[in-house]
Amino acid sequence: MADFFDSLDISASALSAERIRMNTISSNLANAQTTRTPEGGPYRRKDPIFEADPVREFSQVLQGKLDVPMHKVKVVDIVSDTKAPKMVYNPDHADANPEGFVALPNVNTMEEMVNLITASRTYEANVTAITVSKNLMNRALDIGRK
Amino acid sequence: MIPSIEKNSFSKPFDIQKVWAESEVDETKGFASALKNNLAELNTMLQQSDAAQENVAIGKSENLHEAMITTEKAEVSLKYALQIRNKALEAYHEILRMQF
Repeated sequence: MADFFDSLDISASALSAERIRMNTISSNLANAQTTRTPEGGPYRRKDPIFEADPVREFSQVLQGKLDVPMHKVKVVDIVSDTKAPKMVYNPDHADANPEGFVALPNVNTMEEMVNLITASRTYEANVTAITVSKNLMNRALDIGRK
Repeated sequence: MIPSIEKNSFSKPFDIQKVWAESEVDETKGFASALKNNLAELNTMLQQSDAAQENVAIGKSENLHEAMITTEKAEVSLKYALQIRNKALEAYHEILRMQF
């Protein structure tokens, strides 16, 4: 049965990855105005890094020569955006520098919204892939039905 | 392997017990053991599905979709096992209906 469920496992890994992406986007949006962080300075935009993760070990792929080497997706790292923080003149702010400028996070809310739409659409696409393979499996089981 | 029936053996009383005793049944092969293995696999899947649902319910699992997919896998396996059972029973009934 394992082969049947490969597609489900692959899509499941994509769902996990997209969920992490959506979480980082939420974090970016929530901290769009945050000027203090444990590392010091304003919040820096976070971005997940995805990596292709082979479903089977290479030797197993070799044994079953016709097997297509398929890949799941996994999040290997979440990196901080190195773009410079936005400097806004606001001398009354508690975190303003001596010149009166406040360093605000390098988060562009509109950009984050677009990323959020991409993430949610990708999630939906993978859910559709799961539904389709599930329906096909049920259809195959219908062969035996009278 | 069922031993071949000797000539004129139909006139003698047919000892089915003896035939069974003589026929070699390899326990590791055959339909029965395959069915047993599949059922064991199905059982693990159902248990995993239960565990996944429990984890979601008590907030231990962070992924809702993992639980759903595990449940879905268990459902498909169960449907498959049901189909196999139906087919086996059907064949059995077909043999029962045989007329001599």
